[in-house]
Amino acid sequence: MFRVPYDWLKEYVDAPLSSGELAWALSDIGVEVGAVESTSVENGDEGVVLDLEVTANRPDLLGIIGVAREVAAISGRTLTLPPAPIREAEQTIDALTSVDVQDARGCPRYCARLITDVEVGPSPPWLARRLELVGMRPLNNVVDITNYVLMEYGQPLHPFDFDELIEKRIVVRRARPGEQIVTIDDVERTLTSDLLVIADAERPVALAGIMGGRETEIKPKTRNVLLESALFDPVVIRRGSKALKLETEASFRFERGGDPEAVISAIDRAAALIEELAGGTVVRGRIDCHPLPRPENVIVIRQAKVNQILGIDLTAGETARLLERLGFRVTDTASAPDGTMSVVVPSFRRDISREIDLVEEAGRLYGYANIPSRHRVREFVPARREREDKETQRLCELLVAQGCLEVISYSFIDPRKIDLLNLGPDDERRSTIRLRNPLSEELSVLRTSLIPGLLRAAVTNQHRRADNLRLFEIGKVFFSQGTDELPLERVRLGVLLMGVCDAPFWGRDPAPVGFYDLKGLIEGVLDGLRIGGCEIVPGDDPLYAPGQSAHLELDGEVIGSFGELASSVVRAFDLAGPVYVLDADVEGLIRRAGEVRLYEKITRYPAAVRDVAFVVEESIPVGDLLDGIREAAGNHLERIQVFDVYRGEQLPTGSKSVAFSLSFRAADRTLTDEEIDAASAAVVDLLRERWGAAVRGATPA
Amino acid sequence: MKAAIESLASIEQEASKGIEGASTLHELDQVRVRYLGRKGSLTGILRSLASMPAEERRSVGKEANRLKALLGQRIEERTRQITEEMARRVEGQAAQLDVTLPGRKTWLGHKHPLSQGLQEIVDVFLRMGFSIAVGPDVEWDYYNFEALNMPADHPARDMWSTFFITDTMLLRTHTSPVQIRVMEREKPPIRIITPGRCYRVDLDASHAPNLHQIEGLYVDRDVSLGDLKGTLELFAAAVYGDDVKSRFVPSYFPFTEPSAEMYISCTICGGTGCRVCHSGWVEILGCGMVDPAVFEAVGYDAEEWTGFAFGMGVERVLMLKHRIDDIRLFYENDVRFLRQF
Repeated sequence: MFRVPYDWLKEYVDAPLSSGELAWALSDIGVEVGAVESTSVENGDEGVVLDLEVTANRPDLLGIIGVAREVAAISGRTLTLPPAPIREAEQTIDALTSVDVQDARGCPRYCARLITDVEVGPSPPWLARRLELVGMRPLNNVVDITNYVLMEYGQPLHPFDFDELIEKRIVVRRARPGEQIVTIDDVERTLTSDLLVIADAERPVALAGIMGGRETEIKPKTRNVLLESALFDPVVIRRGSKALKLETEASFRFERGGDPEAVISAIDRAAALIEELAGGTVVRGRIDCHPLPRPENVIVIRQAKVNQILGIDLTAGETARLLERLGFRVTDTASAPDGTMSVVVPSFRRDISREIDLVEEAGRLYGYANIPSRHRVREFVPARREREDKETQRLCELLVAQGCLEVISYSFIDPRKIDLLNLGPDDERRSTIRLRNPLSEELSVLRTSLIPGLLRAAVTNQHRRADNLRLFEIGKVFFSQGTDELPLERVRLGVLLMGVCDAPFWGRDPAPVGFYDLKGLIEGVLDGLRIGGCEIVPGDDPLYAPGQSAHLELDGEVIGSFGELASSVVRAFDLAGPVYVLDADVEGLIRRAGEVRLYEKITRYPAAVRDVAFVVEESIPVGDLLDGIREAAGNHLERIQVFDVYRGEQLPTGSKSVAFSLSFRAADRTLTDEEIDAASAAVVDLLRERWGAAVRGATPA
Repeated sequence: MKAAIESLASIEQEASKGIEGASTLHELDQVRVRYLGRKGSLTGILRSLASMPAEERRSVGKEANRLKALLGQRIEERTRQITEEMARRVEGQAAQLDVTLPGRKTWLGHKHPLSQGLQEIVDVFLRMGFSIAVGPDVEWDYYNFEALNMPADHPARDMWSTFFITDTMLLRTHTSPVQIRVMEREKPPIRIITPGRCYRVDLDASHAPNLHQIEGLYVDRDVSLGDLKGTLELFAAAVYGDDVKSRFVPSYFPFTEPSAEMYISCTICGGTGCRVCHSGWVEILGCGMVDPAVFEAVGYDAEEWTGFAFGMGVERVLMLKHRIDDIRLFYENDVRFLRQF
């Protein structure tokens, strides 16, 4: 992000460290060196650039001198600031121009210098090369010098063609609504009063702290230069930069906060360089409008706090020496029991305002590696694991145990995919929450259903020749509750089955997956979660093929639906073959998951089994017959299994035969044949009476 | 008497032949029933002994009982032979089994690697006494930024490129809002981890627009940076192995101070430096001491309580652990990827 040429850095501090050692040492005190780049192979550390990742709190590290200060702190060497020998002319600046700061909050300090009779031309090669190393394009000597000093001090400067300023004066003010300026990137911008501008007597000539204007920029024929070095309010600059979508080297620094002292050092340094390299004459004095000087920043720090936070045991004197190496001035090292000290913060450390900030400063120079790790067990706090979390895990495990692969999709979907789901016009899944700044239309709304994500996963795999899919996802969906309330977030379960129901085997033809495979899977989940009393009723969600779906109801509440997807949906998602999906509310499920179960005694008396098949009309649901059997068979009926459903020649048309295996058992004795026969007979009677069921065959086991 | 003796002789002959000739246990049983069954011929003779004169009864009886014992013994012997033959035949079939033919499998299910990784990390902290806390994915700006010491116009907000829904409603960029919500409703000591989805406007090989994070928060009296180091070193050892070395370097987050980034020795080269890590170290998480401004926002007294917080991306942890080079693989759901974990 901020490129620091190694030999440039060495100009300010002569630390005996190679570029690699320096990178490591800087990272150790929190100045992250992302990369060490070598631009020339032959000359060791010459041409080596340290690429710094400067954090938002350290604008002082956006100048090479700032980095040099850190190196000085590490190495104990002294910092050498660049010279600024100016031979000033007789004439004073006040006689030639003026600066009027009308918005003191927006511009707490504004300095100007005037250099006459410059010769604009190319920069000397050493300067041009250094700018190239830090990633800037050389333009002309005057502009290049301001950029060079920007890189040195981190202080943005701006040169104006003095003769282009109407009435040859500067006004710092808010823009008037509708005012226009063409900036040096050749874009014409219309301004609002939120923006701070540098103006001359009549018009804006620069966007303060962001970018200069085209008309007053330095041109080959420019003779007289007005140099600006100023401090602008971070919030004003940040808002302006965001509003204009224009981030520059200057705005990036100003929005992080500048150093009021560097305003002076930088303008003098630049004036001296212009005089040296562009042949101008520096007019005597500088204008320094400083309407809001920052008071000296003094912070009280307690040694006890330093030790408490860092977990170390330093003396106040040791802490004071650490802070002093970083440029802080410790005024009194009191002998108070907690080692209270007053610390004066240097002007370039705008980020330091509290005791805790100084604790960090001391800690980072002391070295985190030197802080002993502690493994303390204190008050024993047992960790809780919420039931909801446990049951959701259980749900996941039950699906995995049944051979399903868990998928995880983005929380965003393509709204057009929702349209492809065949949903009714009032379906709540249609009212999606739209992002203001989506990555793309495909990822522009929050999902209201897991189905599009599952179908996307299915398409991906089918296109890669994986046709047998057993996928599930457990994840949140989102429903809007207006702009004053956060959305409703619900955790749902989606399952998708496609292809064949068993893993391929040479001894057997694969059977295509069907409705009852999915239903069996769901029943497995319900059994595993110990959820009883689930009603499965025919469904009518248009997502599914007509007559091929069901609702899942618990206590009269619909908590999900499943079935075969409508063929139009399958086609719309570019899939081939029947697709079976489940879409269920996880909270609705796990809320009903059975609590700790009491052990049910396992009886040692034998079970007796009776198999019986009934012929009934096609329209009678087997579920009804099962209910009837349970009702009639009495309390010794342990289990019913449907083991055959037959339709065919030997039966009257419009009827089916359903075969049940009934298992009877008593906990305390062996049931007699008579008891079992009586129970079976009751079943036969009830089914005949209620549904006209005829016994097709009955065999004793 | 002679007739009876002769008849016993022919029973012996026929029965012996029948026993020898029986090739299955079923056939053998039929032979037994024919001679020794309830209505069998030998049984008939034994039953008729009662009506015989005494002398005849003695000699015929002796012979019949001898024959009964003999046949019983032969049947027993033949039973053993047939059983052995059957066993041999089965073994013979076994010799024809092609053990190299693939077996009959069932589908094997897999949890998504992110679920597995999340669970593993959560379990490490559960064992250290941290409880799980969760919160909404869609958050107010206040919880995501402001209460975390990032007022409006704070440049650090740029550290997270944020999806907005309205001016004040957004997709959380970290799970830190959950920490705020927990501190708002509970008093210290607090020891929680907050796993969950976060969102950032980013999409390339190392950034996905949603990602999974686990953050932790520990607030108590006299919690120090040393406690933070100790806790996270235990975590790294649990997930990456006892040999892993860790390094903490100062960093910056608006909601912690001092702040740090934790690096571990590269799991590929062991810390000597390789193509993946360059330096021998890889960054795995950000952490620090809770900033007093955050305590102020939730009404804790920063003089009484101190605490540490940390946050890590689960994707990143897993990419390092399994050497996965593209984060998008986690969300593509290719079954060939999912089945590897």
